[in-house]
Amino acid sequence: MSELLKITDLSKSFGRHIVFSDLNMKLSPGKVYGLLGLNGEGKTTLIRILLGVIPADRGKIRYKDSAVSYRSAAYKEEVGYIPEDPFFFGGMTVGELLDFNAAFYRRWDGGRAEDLLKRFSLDKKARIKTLSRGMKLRLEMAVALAARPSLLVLDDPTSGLDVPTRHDFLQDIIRELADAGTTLLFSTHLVHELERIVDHLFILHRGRLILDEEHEAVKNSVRRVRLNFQKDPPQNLGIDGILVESRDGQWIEVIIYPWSDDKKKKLEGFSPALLDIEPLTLEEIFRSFVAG
Amino acid sequence: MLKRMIIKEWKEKSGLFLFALAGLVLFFVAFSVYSKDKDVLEILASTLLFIFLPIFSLLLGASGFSSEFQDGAWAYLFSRPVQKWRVWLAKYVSLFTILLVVIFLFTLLTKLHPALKPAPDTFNFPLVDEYMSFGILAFVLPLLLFTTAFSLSILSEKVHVVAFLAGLAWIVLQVAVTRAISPLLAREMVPSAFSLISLTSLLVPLSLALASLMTVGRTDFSQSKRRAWIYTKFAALFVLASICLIVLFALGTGRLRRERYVYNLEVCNNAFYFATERGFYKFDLAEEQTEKLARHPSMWGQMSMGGDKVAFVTYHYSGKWRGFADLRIMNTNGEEESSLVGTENQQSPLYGGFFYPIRVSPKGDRVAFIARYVPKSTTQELWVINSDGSGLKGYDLGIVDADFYRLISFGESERSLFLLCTGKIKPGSRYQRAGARLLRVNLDSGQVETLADQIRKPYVASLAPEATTPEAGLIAYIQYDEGMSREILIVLNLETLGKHQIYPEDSVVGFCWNKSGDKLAFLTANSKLGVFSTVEDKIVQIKELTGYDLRWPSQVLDWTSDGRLMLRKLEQAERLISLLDANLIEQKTIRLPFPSHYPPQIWTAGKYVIIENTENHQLWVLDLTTEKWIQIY
Repeated sequence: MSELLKITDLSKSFGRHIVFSDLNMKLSPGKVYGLLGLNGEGKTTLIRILLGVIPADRGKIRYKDSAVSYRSAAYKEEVGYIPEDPFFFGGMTVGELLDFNAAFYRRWDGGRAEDLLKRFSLDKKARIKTLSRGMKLRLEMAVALAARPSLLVLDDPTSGLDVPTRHDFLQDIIRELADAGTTLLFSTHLVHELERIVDHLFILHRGRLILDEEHEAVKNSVRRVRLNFQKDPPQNLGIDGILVESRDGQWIEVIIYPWSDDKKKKLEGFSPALLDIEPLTLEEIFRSFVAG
Repeated sequence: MLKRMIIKEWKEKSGLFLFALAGLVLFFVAFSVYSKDKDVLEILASTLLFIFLPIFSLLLGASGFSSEFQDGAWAYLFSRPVQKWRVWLAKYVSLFTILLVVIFLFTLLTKLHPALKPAPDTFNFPLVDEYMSFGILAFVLPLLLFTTAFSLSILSEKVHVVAFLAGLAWIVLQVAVTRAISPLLAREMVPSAFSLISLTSLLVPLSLALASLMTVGRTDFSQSKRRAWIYTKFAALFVLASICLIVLFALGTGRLRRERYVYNLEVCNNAFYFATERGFYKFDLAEEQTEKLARHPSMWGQMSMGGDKVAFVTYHYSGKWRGFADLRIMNTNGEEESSLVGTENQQSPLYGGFFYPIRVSPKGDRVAFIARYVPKSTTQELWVINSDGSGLKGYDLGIVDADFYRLISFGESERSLFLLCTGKIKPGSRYQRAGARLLRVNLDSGQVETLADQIRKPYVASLAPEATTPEAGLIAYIQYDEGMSREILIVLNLETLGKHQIYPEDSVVGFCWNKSGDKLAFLTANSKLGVFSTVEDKIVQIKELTGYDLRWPSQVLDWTSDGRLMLRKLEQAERLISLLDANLIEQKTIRLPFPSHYPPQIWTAGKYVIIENTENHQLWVLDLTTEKWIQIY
């Protein structure tokens, strides 16, 4: 089994609005995948299709080499889901929610659920509607992890959380899960959060997957180059892969993907007075990709 | 999963449940406060049954998916490793348990308070008894309304909108079905019409439920318009399929074509006469042939014979006089059929009236009938007319609370008429235990005399012509004796008006005079069969029965012309006729020529026995001497 999840030519539209078309993705076991996109680009729609919550218009999804569809249910035993908005059944207590979910999963690990509650300082008797958003997120996490998922899908779970809580969540839990071999698909628009945890990046933009690459590879292949010229700068640098270009008098700043030594030599060929090459943060990379 | 879903739904819908509980408590208090006011009680009972329970069922069903829509939990539920149709079904079952508990509490309420006990004239559907009618209203209707509303709840989070839509859909369905089956009702094919209404009322909510289930399993829940469109398509498809199924059922089983109910049967002049919704038939005993006498179908099989005349009531199904009744008469050979009196003449005191029942005098020269719903200026309810159409005369019976009448017979050289009158019964009424009254009307003076009251069911036994022996001047009936708390068989001497209690030791549930009117056989509640002789003025035989099928006791007994008693028997699921001799010893048993789930009705005439197969609308005749069966209809 090479891939845990494979998506082929997946398309979805709402009426005349095409959300995305002909998406192809592969998720391998034990990695953390970041699904990036601006608000309204279809990240939640894609995740809902993957989880069989809504149907796709076209395309195929395979989980562990088996085809799954909107009506499949068995594969969800191994797929945990943490949605954007915690929408628990407010009248329930923490313990009742765990019991409710235990009834759905054959792999449910009650002991682990208890441990997670202790770890997250959650009281079983507490009413869910009295919990803070951060506590609800922890509860969602406990529910998802007690089912021992092979794939955990997180749909922008940290939006609206304060910084320390987000930090705890990402550092303590997500990394730990990844280290334990759980595959994670993390969708967010707060890109900087993924900087230290993500292995692979997907960027969904205008209905297309415009980036599908390992995080390290992306970081190594995107460069910001600042050039300063004594005389008038060249009108055209003649280099492929310029994601963003800005000019200010004698200055030119470009972001290039993919970066290569050949492109560096070509830029040096313009004899700039200054040639400053630097890597980008993940957030800068993302902004560069979606800027156009 | 189901158990957890039930707990979740009970928690979420606790408000709705408490609302139902509070409503039931309020009703109970109101029933107790107004326990003596029958009109208020009737309004309360009707409100509870026709408004409160249906609205609760609609609201409960409509709340099905509302909470899931309101907080987005539908996505949460659908992301669990379970088929979506299972989620739908689990929610349905969960809410159904709430409905069941409310219905159970309602049933408890009916046990606690007598005002809610089934009353025949308040909760009444055709062809089923009041208990079944009550069951339909209290259990089946809420369930169907709940199912309809639950099916629609996948369309919107607004509970009141869904409940309104479901209620509207239900009303439209009932109106449409009633209109669609009106041709059947016009032909008085009530069982078929009732079957079609029942089937449609069951299948349409089921279709909507199936459409809802399919929509949940296939549609994008995040798109409300698309969801509504897919649901509409599925619903239209399944409703259409249901209608096709109903039509195929009706055609395939021949239900509509084969409905030839034998409404009435009389024996006269060595022939059987019987009325069906298709007309009148005669089976000649000597020639063993069935002959159709008149093409006019009789209304509710009303027919009466006397002398060489047959009178019957028909109904104009079409044309200028559509909707008006017509009392007709003909000779027993089917000739000289003519109209005696109609209801279409605006100047007539019978204009727009309804004739029921009718009775021809023993000589066949007069016809008596009850006319209801005539103009308010007309106070007469009993009418008599000569067989040649002359001498129409009305009698004011002066009975304010009369519900319906049955004419027993002419008596005393046709100078008087005996009839039975039942009063109106309302739930909670202090007259609830009042029985029917036996009246004698002097046809010369118009004087009305009450001969007996507290007459009990089976009315058929009390009222049928067989219950009278005009030759002997006796009438038998069952009367409730409050002192003994028992139904007593009484024989009334019409000349002296003396009443003789026949077997006060036990409640009598059925009886039958022999052909010469000198012996009266009777059945008791404790399965005893007795024979009373009017000649010896005592009970000449009494015996405890075992192994006989004594259900519908008014139809169990009959005498053969040679003085033997006939009973029904059920042995190892086989239906038999048992013949008993004068000492009530079983002489022989004869197997019925058709299988039957229900006890068939039996008549005798001469050496013949007639049996109606009510399940297939057939009439069979048995020749007792040869034991040969002939199907005559």
